[in-house]
Amino acid sequence: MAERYSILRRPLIAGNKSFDEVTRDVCAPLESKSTSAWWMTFAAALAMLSVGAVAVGYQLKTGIGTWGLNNTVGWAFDITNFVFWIGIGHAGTLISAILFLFNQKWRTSVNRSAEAMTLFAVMCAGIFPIIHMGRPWLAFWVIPYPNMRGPLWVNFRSPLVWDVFAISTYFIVSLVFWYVGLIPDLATIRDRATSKIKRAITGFFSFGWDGSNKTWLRYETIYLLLAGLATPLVVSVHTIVSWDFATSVIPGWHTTILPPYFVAGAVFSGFAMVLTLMLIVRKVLHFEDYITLHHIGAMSKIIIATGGIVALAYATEFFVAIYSGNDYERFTFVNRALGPYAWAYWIMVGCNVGVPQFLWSKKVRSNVALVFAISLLINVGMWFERFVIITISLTRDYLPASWADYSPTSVEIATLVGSFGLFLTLFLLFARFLPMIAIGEVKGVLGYGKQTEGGQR
Amino acid sequence: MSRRLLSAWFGGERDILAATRATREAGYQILDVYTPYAVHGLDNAAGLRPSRLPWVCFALGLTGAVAKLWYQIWTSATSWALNVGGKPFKSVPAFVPVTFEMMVLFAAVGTVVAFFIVSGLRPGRKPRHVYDRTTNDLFALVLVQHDAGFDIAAVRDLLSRHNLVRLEERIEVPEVKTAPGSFLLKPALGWGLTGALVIVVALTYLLPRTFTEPNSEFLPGMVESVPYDPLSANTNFADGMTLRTPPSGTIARGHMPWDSSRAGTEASLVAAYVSTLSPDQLSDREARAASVFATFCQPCHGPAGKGDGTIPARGYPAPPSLDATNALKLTDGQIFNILTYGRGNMPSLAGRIPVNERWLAVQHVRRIQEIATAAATVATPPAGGTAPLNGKENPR
Repeated sequence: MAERYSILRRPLIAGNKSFDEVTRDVCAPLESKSTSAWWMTFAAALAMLSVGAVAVGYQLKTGIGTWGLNNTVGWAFDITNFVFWIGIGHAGTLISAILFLFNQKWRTSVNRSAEAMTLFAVMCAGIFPIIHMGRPWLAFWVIPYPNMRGPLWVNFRSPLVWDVFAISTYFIVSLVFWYVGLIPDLATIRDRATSKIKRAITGFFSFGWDGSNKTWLRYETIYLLLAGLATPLVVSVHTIVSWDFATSVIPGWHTTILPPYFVAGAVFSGFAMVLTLMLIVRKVLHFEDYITLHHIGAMSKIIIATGGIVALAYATEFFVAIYSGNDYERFTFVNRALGPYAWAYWIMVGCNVGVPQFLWSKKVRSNVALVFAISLLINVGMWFERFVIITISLTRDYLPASWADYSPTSVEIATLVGSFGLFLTLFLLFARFLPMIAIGEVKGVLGYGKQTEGGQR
Repeated sequence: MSRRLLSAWFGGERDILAATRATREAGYQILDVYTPYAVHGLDNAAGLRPSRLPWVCFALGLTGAVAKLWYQIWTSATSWALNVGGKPFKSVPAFVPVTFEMMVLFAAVGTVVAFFIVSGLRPGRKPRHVYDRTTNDLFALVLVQHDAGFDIAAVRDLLSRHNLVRLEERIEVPEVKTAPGSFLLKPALGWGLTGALVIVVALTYLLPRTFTEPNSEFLPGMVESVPYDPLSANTNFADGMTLRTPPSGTIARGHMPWDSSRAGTEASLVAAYVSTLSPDQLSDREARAASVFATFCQPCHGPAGKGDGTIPARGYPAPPSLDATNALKLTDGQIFNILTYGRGNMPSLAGRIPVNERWLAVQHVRRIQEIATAAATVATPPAGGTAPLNGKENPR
């Protein structure tokens, strides 16, 4: 069959793949032996995870005195990490839900991994508030359950309780969303499996999927519904996270700009992390035909857009501080830029406002190594953004007499390293045992940009 | 009952769409179409109505939101209304975020569960119609040969106009073999268990409750014990008592015997006490003795036992020096006895110092005496010096 390509739209998937080739390409990493590179990375990830596990064990046994916190700075490293990881997760939902609603078909190549990234990032995020409680074995007290103390209920007016509901809902819905998307692909793996055990396991988890059109119809319906639900959900989650700060009265926290600022920052950092991971996956698992320069370019453009919102938010904060005429507010922001933690502030501005500007150039967007470096720098910058907002605001609170500095202890740093270890371990296991690309969805966009319609070849 | 199925495979989206539409328009009964991905427009071609799952989603979302809003108001304003920063108990705006989250949770999870139920998907379920390549690269149209007039040749003609890849006839025999554990899926069991749960919950609320009386106990053996009460009469023993006399020589826990006839000399009593100490305690013994002395004795007797503590300094009659000749003559037991019962102006310390530590105090008194005697011997030349015997010069 002769094929003609559109002059306006290029195919999303390069290499003129057939359906069978797509299946084979995506399943290849699952069906071959683990490479030595995988083992080495996995060992490194496990080592980082163990460092974190030891640190967490130590701080649970000894108490939260092992952290660098003091009377003035009660939230620092752990809450920074919490907000950082939650933010990372948001890009996954954005790709799977918001881009779905906007009918951005290029999302099909990256949505599976991005959703997995969301799940793992939310797991990493969840660890921090729980160990921050100091007595994590009582963590269930945040849940309003009928108890023998009255019953004494949680305070539903507190943003911290909202956080509990928002993050657990977010995790469950992301998990369900991810799993529903995974079922057709698990069935594909089941029907390809040569070993009995693999067939039994994938058969169990694929829920008896047989590709029936009636089921596909319902599947598409609930996929749309889930996307419609997840879109406001993801906005609400980071809004509620920002309320943890905004509803308090610390100068630097108590601002109405925080919710949109946090949501934009979350998407910004999340896309940077998606890019970091996808560029590695693309290279290591040979998915160059699926994650093309077009995908990288599209994600880079989202980074420019959200980075612009973040830059605008930084500027607005300063403007409002000056315009407010409030000395304390002014001091807070001057202190951020010129105070003892100015280095953190300028790392943040450099990485989040300066570095993404390089992506305006098409040459840079087409250079995978440069995009990778930029995405890493943005990750660093966004971590520092949370550090700047949370810690610097706290170190200089109301009375100069109670001002105090903060520096993390080795235990806190080891915990952060451990969370990266957990994230990488889970991601590597995912890459090894589950399809990284949504096979069923990619097949549906194979015909994109060709004269023939749909997936027809 | 078995039925005859006709499966036709196609290689592309356009073919399956056209073939499906053509067979439906020709009046054949389509069992289902199996595709490797969601083919848009196939629902139209196969004549399927849109799914009703959005209504389920809406109903569940509404349920979640209403239930959570009610729950927050009930817990915050009715069940235990706590004043938080002077905010109103029914602070509805503050309840919005959690209400929203629960709406999303109910709607999302509930819709997916509903999807699994209506599609018959569940963990471990076997695919009903296995056409391996339909999860990879082929599209299968499955027709039901519902009557005798089903003409396979005509169907083949119709389908081969759309790049037919393969045609296969199958006879579907309903499975008789039941999978292990399938009884768990029987509706009767589900309804029975649900009914039982409803009845139990209903009874919990409907049965009258008296809060002034203790609850009735299930298996009360742990509270109403089978053994005899220690002080009750007992015909099994010659003396008619339940409580047995302990064997002779039994010592109560934590109690030091004070029976010189049995325990021997006072020195051996001290030795017996010391033998009960662990090595750690032994190494700390002198320090502990000094500490007991400093806490309980020194306020009156002074650091060196000269009777110059802070209390006599404020007017209380000063005790005699502990290294006085009379004091040197006292045996360990006598000092212990003085500590226990008091003497003269000295009150009993039995209530304040436990037996073991009284012995330690005795030991420290002895040490003070040793130091004082040694100092006196050094300070007093054999020729009869001038050093005062009361040892006002502290040897240390």
